[in-house]
Amino acid sequence: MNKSAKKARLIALLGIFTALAFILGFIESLIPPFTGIPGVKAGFANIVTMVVLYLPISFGTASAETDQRHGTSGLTPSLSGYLCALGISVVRVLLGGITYNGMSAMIYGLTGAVFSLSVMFLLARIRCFSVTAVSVAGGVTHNIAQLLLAVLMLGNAVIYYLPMLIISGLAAGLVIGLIAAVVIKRLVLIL
Amino acid sequence: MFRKKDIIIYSLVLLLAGAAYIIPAAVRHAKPPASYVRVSIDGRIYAEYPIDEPLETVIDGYAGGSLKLVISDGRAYVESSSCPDKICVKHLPVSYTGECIICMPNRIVVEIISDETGQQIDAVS
Repeated sequence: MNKSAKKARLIALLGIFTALAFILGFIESLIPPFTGIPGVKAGFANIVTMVVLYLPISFGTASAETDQRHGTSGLTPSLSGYLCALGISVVRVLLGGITYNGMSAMIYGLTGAVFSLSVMFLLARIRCFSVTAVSVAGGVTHNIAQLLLAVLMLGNAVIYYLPMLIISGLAAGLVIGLIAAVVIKRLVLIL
Repeated sequence: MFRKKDIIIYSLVLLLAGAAYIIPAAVRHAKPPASYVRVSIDGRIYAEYPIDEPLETVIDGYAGGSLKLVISDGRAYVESSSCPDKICVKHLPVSYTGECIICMPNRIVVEIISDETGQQIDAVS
């Protein structure tokens, strides 16, 4: 592939993934909260984030680290993958915020997305951990970051939510991680 | 799906959850919120006494009546009163935030209030 074809392919992929994340987020917003605790949900849009993080995507002169394919667990995200995943998350949260989620959810979502993606990227670069474990760490980080923001905005009393949010982050990360691992294993073969 | 070293992440997360559960509870236990006994007469605040300091005082109520308020062991009760029905005297001691003893003839309200009343969790969305 020449340079412009590569660029077009990347843009198309990012568009598809952004749309997919947006739709998954929208569908999830239609499901009534079943726990009664604000902030506890699975976050299916993060499947897309996980997949993009791990896919051998590259832009600029950086070459994709596609040579290290030893199944899902051996795949290491590139810096490009991280930036693409971050871009998709931010666009998805902004779009979700102005359409169905509301402004305050948007601010919390951005905080959670930036922190959890950064932690997941760093953990994945160590190459010791499976996609599922990285996803669990991401889910927990997501909830902790949001809770810290809530402490800043609402006061110390909300800190009592922390154990509940950590456990729910663990559960959500586990579900998302298992799904993402399966999807990545398949998608790596065709992309 | 799973690798051996994943156990590090899972155990760290569980440890964190445990710490998040224990530490705020321990801090709260070490320093319980300060409570006060607020006495109002005819709707106006008359005095506030800390609930952890023993106290015996006579409070002059509306129209010449009076009652004797006792605070001990973190509880407040009315020991005697000039009112005819003595409902306030029969009332059990109060200690929890929001509990109160009311003496209608004297127009005296003894109420437990707390520092933390203004800091309750509410949902923002």
